[in-house]
Amino acid sequence: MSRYRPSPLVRWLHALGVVVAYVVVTSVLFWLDLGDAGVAPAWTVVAVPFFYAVLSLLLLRRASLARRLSWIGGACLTHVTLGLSAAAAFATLADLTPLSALAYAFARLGPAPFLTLVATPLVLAPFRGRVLSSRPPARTDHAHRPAAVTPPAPAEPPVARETRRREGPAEAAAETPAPAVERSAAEPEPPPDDAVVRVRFERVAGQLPAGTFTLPLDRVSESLREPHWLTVPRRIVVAQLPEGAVQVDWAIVASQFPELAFAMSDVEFRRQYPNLKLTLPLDDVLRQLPRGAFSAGGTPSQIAGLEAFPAPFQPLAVPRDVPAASARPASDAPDLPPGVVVAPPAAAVAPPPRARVAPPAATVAPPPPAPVARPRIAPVLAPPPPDPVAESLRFTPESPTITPPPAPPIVTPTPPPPAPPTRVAASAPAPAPQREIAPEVISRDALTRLAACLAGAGTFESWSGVVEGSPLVAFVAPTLPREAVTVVAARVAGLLGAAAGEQVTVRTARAAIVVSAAPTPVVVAARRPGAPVALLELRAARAAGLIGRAAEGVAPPARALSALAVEPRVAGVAGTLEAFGDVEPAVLTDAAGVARVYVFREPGREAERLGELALAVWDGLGRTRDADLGALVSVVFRQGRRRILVRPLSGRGTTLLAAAGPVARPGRAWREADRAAAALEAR
Amino acid sequence: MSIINYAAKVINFKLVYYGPGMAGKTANLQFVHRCLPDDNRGNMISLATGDDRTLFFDFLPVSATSVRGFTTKFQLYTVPGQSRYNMTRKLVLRGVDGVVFVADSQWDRLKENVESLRNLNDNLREYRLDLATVPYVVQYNKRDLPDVAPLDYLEYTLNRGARRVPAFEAVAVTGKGVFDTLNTVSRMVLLREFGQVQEGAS
Repeated sequence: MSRYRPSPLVRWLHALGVVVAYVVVTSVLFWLDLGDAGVAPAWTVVAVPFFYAVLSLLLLRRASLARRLSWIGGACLTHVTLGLSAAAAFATLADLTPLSALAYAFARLGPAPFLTLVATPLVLAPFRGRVLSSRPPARTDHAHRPAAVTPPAPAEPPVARETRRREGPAEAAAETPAPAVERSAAEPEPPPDDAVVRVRFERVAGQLPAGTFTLPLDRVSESLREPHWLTVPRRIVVAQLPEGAVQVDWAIVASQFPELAFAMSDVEFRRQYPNLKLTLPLDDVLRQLPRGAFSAGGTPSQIAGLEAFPAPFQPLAVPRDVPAASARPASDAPDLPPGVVVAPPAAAVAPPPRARVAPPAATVAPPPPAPVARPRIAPVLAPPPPDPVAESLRFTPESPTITPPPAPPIVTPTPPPPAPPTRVAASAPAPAPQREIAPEVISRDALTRLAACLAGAGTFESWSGVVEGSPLVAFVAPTLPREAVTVVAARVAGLLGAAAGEQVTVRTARAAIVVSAAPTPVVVAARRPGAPVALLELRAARAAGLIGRAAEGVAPPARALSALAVEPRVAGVAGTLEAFGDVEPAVLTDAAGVARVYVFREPGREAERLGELALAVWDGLGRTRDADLGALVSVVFRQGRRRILVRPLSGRGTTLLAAAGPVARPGRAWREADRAAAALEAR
Repeated sequence: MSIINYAAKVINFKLVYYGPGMAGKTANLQFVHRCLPDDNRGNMISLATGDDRTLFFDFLPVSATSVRGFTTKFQLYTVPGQSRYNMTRKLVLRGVDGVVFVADSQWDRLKENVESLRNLNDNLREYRLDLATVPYVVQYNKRDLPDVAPLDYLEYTLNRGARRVPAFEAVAVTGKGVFDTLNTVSRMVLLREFGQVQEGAS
């Protein structure tokens, strides 16, 4: 897909060049007296518009009739202009009368009319994109944009787009915005509700099905009709505001994507995802709505006579520290709904003495053990020296728990299916938990303290347990599959340590997973794109610091790697990885010759160690492709300032890029590695 | 529907905390339970799943001031917010005297708030009640979180129309707004029972 779009000046220069070439050629023909054929028949003049009409059918197959007619008119005008230019040249060269010069230009000089027919489409060719484009003219677009409520629109999209053919009944719906290209300058000013709301593409990209595009999402974002923004008619947004969510049909935004970016045809896409809707981020949307777009109307009702009653409840000045949830029925017999079996009142008459209230960690007996892996106390790696904070956070199943005496059953509802994990809003430390849940790797209380480290980084579901032999504490965005995330995390957590560093960030197509080394590694996972990866890395490191120092770790398994000759192309790629400092290239292959690793490491470092680490990463993650996580994009290990970046390359067999070095700007390093990968893939 | 024991001079009211799952209904009751003097509160019953989701309902009996010689007692209930427990919610609403709608202020929970409010209306209708007649307040919980919707939009989605009811910002886990909510709905219930409700124009 060409991403080049010439500027207006270049277009005009191109057209002018064609005109000059035409005049020169016809003048030369005239000067050499070639092709003086006498007066041409009249039909040659009449046939000109028909010729351009036929040509428009061939060249502008996807343009509307109005566009075609305007192009034909323009072609005729250009034809006449070219003829006049040639006539002027002839008159200058041979001192002809204007009438004679015109006769030569349009009829008498045989090749001249045919040259005009050829030159006219060439003059108009640079403007073909504007005829086909569905994008409204810049001035019109600017005039229709609401002044204060929308962010500034970028100037020019990078891709000349073609009108996406609209098919299916959804597109015929009235709410689908009419293409602005059909609006002519003569039309009246549109009504105010033609205003649009702009939403950053990255905020909704996560809702698109995997495999929708052939391009990476960031490139798709750049290639939108308005780069990085999706626009939605405001009337559609406003109509849904009372629902607490704004969803738009795919058909409304489909035309804003470059056609060539799609991995499948429009018809196939609609068949596969017939009810695809995008939920717009309401915070972005509301910011763009004018005051008064939503209003509750008036002030709350004043309830007369309310002040006659004093406040019935006066709280204690200091709340009790101990929440007193109890599994026993109260002394006051509640008005229980029918069907509820209530325990005999003997068990509930006297409230239990305050002293018998259990501490928060164990107020009620734990429920039957959930079918999860038995928590491992000892981490896989050698345990670090005892740390007071770590000790306080570590789960010890032998620690005494206070279990109240068995109470008679209160209700007997059918046990519900297992509920999803507790959602921990990570922006503020939650209070001490009220009930203990099934034993896990760390206590619920410790989990809450760790969650407080993620304040402001998003909403996560907390979980702890053992995955593939590795104890983990995981904070996973609710939209990600926790099982898949923890499997990925467990596989890279084993690589952390002296060989690879104290933190690793795994990027897949749809998730960013940060694993920080600790006796029980901390995993934080958020959805890509849009995840604040740097923030997550900082917060995960802080949470891991609460748990304690990680062990030294173990090196990845040794492999028999042999070095291949470094091609100049690969050496050239090394020069582009400036963010990693000075790096030396090496190309390694395994004994079978199936795997190949392009290694770029600091001078003096062993390339083999880096190659082994890259292959260990690939063995652990490369073949794991979860539908919700998507394909592996990159793995970045952090060891102080040093970063080790591993990413797969497309090609036959296993081909990897591994770059290592002291990195001051991680984002730049990641982008450079991305470009280096593209250069290596293009061999 | 209040239950009056003329012999003991006790009148019982039923208040239901309604709202979507994880909005903070149980947290409200827990804070009330922690903060009331022993003489004014009974034991709190919580039937929850292993991960703290309310399975059936929470129940907290509390007693309040005397009005016209009657000791007033309030039975505070919550409902399970998860959509699959609608039958339980319906049962808990039977005989309700006042409703507190606990809304989650976070952006990504707004739709569930609206659906829960709609569900509350539907369930009340089965008992020939509606929010226009039942004493009812709205509490916008979790206001301490960073990703919360502005109040005017919450009011627009959950508290608009001809009869706008008292609404409160709250952080139930810290207690902010919890007693304001409870006292207001309780006074509305008492006013309805003992006094003549006169609503001024908005």
